[in-house]
Amino acid sequence: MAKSNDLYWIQRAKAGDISAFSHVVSIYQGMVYNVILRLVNNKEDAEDIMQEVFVKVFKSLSGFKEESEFSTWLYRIAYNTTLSELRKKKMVLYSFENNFSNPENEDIDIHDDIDDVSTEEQIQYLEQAIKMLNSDEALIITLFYLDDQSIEQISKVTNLTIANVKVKLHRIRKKLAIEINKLIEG
Amino acid sequence: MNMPETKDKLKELFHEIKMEKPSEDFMKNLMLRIEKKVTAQKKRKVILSYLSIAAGIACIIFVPALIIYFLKIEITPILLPNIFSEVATVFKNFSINPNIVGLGLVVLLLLLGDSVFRKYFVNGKQ
Repeated sequence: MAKSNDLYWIQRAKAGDISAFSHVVSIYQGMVYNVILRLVNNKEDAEDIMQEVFVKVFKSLSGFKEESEFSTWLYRIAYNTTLSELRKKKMVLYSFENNFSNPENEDIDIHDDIDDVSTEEQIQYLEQAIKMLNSDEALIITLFYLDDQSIEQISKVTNLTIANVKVKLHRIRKKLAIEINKLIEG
Repeated sequence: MNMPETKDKLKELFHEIKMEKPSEDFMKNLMLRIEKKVTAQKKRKVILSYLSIAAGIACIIFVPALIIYFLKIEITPILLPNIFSEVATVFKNFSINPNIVGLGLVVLLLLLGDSVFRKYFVNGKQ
């Protein structure tokens, strides 16, 4: 369910109040933009797609059932719209399965040496590591960490099974740890 | 899931990342688009309501006309003049008491005055 304060604005927007809808947009635009940006890797494209997303959201707001999380419903629209826009523009969305080739199952942690470098450098390492991920992976990890979406919510957004999301998250974290460790070792 | 150390460190780092923001014009452009959509929707609704009223009137006229035409029903046009002549004869024999009519008119005027007073003074002040 949406936060009670957000729900008030969502309900008013559902009743056709445009100013309430602009308030809803201002609450969620940052996160939606970052989710789309992870998928398309281009600021202008991300902004264009985000416009489409919010127009779709406005049109189909009456179909939103308040028993589910608004953000999950919104991210699902954002994800599907981004995929169809990418298909229209014939851009390639790298699939997780096609690119990942690290079958080892053992856990890999980030080296403790990371604490020796400054926070700015740590963030820089992480951003570099994220760039090594494909779009799907970047989206999943962004939803999980940046927006604290649960595995169930991510499975609804991406249309993957819960087990599949768990496996992917495990692999992505391992992949990020490997990349960050490489950067620490220099 | 395992890897709590990695997870925690990653989570910590993710929360340190500065989120990208859309351009300042984004909201303005989006709301302009939404307003256009709403105006177009309203126009469409008005046109649809006019069309449905027109269709309703056409149905009211043409459906009975078609039924009458296909079932070959004949309507006798003499009925109405008969009714009028009957009503006229009733009114001819009707005696009106001016006191009762005057009382009725006073009651009507009082009711009208009350509703006007309520509308413009009592509810208006609220």
